[in-house]
Amino acid sequence: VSTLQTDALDRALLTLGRAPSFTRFCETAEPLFDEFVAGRSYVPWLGEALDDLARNASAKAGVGGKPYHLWATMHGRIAIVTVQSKHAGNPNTLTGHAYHRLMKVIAGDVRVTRWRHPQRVDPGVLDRRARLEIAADEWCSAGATLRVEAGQDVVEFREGHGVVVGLDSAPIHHTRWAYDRASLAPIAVVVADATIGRIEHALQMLGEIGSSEDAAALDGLMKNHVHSVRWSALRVALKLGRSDGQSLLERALEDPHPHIRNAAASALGYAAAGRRS
Amino acid sequence: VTAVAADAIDLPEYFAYLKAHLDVEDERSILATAPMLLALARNQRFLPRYLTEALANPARFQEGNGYAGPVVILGGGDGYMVRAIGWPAADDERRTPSNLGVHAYDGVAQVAHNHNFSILSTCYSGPGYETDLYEWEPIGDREPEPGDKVVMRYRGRQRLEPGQTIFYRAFKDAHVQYEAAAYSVTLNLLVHPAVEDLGDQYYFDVKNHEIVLPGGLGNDRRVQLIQLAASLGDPAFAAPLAVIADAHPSARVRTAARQAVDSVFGRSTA
Repeated sequence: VSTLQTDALDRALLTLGRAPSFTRFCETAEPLFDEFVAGRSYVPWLGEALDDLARNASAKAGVGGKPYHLWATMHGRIAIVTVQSKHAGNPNTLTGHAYHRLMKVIAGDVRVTRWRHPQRVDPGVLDRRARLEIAADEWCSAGATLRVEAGQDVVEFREGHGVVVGLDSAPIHHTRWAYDRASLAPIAVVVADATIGRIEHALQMLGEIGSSEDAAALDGLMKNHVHSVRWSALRVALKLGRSDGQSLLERALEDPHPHIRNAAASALGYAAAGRRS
Repeated sequence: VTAVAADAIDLPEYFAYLKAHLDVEDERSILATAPMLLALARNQRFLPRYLTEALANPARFQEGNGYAGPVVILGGGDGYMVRAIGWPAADDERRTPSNLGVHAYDGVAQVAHNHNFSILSTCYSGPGYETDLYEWEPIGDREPEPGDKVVMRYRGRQRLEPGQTIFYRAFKDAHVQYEAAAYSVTLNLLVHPAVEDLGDQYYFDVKNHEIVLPGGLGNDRRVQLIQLAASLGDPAFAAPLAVIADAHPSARVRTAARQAVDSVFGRSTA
């Protein structure tokens, strides 16, 4: 793909800093993204990928093992995807987005449904009353732009067939919400960062196979910026027999995240009831 | 596989052994590493130490690991990798908000799967999972497609307990995996020479001895690439697509390319 265009885009995204507002993201990135799409550098990219596959049967396309990534840095990424109707296989949930995203339809016609939260929400704290509202349900043809605000919008391709190029910002949130498709109410907080998911799986594994000496190594994770990692690390430390478990739980009462404060209070309450009985 | 463990070893020693002795294209060579895998599994401290050291740098934890579930990649070499995998009990299994399991358990559905790579596996911790083992082969010469009948020979149910190893041969062996009775961890040597990436994995309806669907990341991605080219329909794509339609070793990839050429460029390659 055009490195001149992606270099310019990368520099622009860098200036946005960490977790920019959606307005700033669109103002800064959209003109450069439009230029990128108009340059159609995905056509020679795809032609080269097909030539590779014609020459070498086991060729792999894409950037960093992701077949549709045309470009990716720590500040953003551009992907190209074929959109096919998911209607028949739709799960009974919808999932939000942890990134700001701009999408451009470059071929075909696709029916897009967009839901939006009427008020600001915090994807890190589940609020079951904060239902989505439908914002649009329309057919989009080549040239249409879709703008998705992290945490606030949910977008789904419902019908049709087409090709979409998308620009994602760096992660805005570490979590996103899953929604019940029928009621549009949030039902779960989902980890949006695969690394965080792997850390939590590894902590569970460590909790099963580790010993008290391993519990001492979890102090750093108990201060992690992601609340679910802090809580998982604390649980594993307690499971592995940290001698200062009581004070760890008391410290968790001061955690910035309400779910951790509540869980710590419950655990201390159970412990106190156990001692009384 | 019947193997006797040597004395407990550490991870670097295991990798040094693999580097010196493993021939990824020779099944006997893979099987000959079983005592060293068991010796690694006898070291009950290497994995907690590995995890705590790796978790000390959470921002880079398991960078490049594409698995979604509890799979820790411990390292690897040319054509192989070593993984630790967590197997939760049924009541501890994580599920998506849509209530789909994230683990490779398929006992309820009675769907077996094979792999387009070989796995030599042992149990590191816990009681281990149980699995129904099958050998299968296609009927006829062509690559199987969904709905095709296949021959499936049941080879019994095994529990992968500590001290035991199971060898799943690439393509030939299929299995149905059941939840462990309690959280278990397996260690496995995954052997995947480049040529095997061109073959497909399959899912089987065990009751009806039928192919449910093909899979396999390599060919999935190749088919998706071809579908993307078909959707864009640029004339520059016609020539390489025609070559792929004629010559790619995978029938699934050839079919996708042929359909792309026929539908987009109006030219029959039959």
